[in-house]
Amino acid sequence: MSNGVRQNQANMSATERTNFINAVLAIKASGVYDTFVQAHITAFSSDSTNGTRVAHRGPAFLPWHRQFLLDFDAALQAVDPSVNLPYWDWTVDGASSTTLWATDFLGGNGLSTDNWKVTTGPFASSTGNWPLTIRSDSNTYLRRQFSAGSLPSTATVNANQAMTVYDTSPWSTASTGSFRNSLENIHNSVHVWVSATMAGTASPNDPAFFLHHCNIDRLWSMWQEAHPTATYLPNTGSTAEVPDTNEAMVPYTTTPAQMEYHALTYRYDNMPSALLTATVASFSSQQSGNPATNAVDTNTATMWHSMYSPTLVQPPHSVVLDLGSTKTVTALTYLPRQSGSNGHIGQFEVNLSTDNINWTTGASGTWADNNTRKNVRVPATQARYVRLRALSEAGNRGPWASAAQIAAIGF
Amino acid sequence: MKNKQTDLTRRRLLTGAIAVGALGVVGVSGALVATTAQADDVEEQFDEVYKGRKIKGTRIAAGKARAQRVDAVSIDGESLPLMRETDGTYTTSVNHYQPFRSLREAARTAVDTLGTGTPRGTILGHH
Repeated sequence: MSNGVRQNQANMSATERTNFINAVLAIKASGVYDTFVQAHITAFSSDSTNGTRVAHRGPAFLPWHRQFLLDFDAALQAVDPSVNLPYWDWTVDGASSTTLWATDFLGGNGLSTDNWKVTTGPFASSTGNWPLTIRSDSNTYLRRQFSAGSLPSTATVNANQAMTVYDTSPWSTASTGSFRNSLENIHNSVHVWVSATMAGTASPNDPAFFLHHCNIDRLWSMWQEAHPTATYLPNTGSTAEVPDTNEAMVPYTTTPAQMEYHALTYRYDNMPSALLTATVASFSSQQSGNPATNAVDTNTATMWHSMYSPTLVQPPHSVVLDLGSTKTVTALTYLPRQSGSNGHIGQFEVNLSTDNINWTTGASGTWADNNTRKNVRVPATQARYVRLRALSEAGNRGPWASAAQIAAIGF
Repeated sequence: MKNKQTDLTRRRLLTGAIAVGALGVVGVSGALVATTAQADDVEEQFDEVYKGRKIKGTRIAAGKARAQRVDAVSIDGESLPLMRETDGTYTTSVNHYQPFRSLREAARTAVDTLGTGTPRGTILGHH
């Protein structure tokens, strides 16, 4: 099984490198790889600053590509469950990288004397592994034409990471003071630097695309941890031309909000946050047959429910998790009951404590009345005890609270 | 998000119009626009050989004319799909991460990037 850790390609073992390349070649041979190229071309041809924009040139650039990479990672893992998508940190590894462009990995730059054709590595045209069937020009083989200029520097990345607002109106290439637009421009410059196949709408034909975007996704994750109260924007629900936080990102049904936290499926090697194991320290009440321990088991079909018989217990309801020792908590995840809706938590608070006596509030808000997973980030806090307080029922159906899963995320 | 369907439809129509232009006139999509547009409507027009490649382009001024005609660029007679941004810059299917102030610059950079290749008039892939 995959350990869910996306690592820097420079640190991969020889076996990990081989497994990754073999999985990529396998999905190319099966036709699955080309569906990603097609999906990207289709998305790009309908994105414009002058109209609807989902995958590019707008706020959904980051969550759309996060979903795209999740699907790609899943396609690789269907071939080899041990594989995780690696990332390319271009602030360190440029044209002279001995790992990234190696003959056992992505292969090297194109040949200036041969139309910038890539002639080394597993994706070279001579191998027969890598015909470009879905493309935006007549070149049928992978090409690279590295720029003589520089890739984005650490200083550029740091300045981007220091920005505090996710995105700004007009939610486009014209947005100023926008973390997203700034990062998208940095991202553009890397496509331009590799050039040739990577420059056009069919850029996923170069496997470097996925390692590059994995790094962009990592930078978004790092920014999220550095700015725990910053969320995806816009969130009004009626912004013209771009997905708001709870609107689907075509062709996906996924919303930006659902892509905001990923610690349950993967993490980056330089970012330690993961799902923390916990036991139940205490609870406000529990219904017979639906004990609080059901919220910390691994079975999402079972649930905790506040007591309604023989006594109807009124809110606030709460469950306190014991992490066993003091950890750094960065988020909480709440999975509502998966069948039925009574007790979906509406208004909530996340409280943190080192001693189960003195509490601070890490986050509060109101969750929507549905059964999709809710993730809420908190400022990184040292805590052994994490309490979820339910102040209201999301659908006002009754004075209840329920949960299929409550878990802390951190390290 | 509002008006998603309308915008998508408009976008697809625009892309389609370029492709049809390339097919409808013998090899030269740019000429279709150039011969039917009033001189005042044309903001930019070129027809030259760059690095051995025949590049042509016509950019229509904003306003009434734009509603009826589309911008067009071709390389060796093959239409180069364009996307116009609200700030007046362009990207192309060949250089999609890079904005251009003029269609000539877009055409020349596409030639540089394509090497010996040519663009495809429609950017949706086909097996």
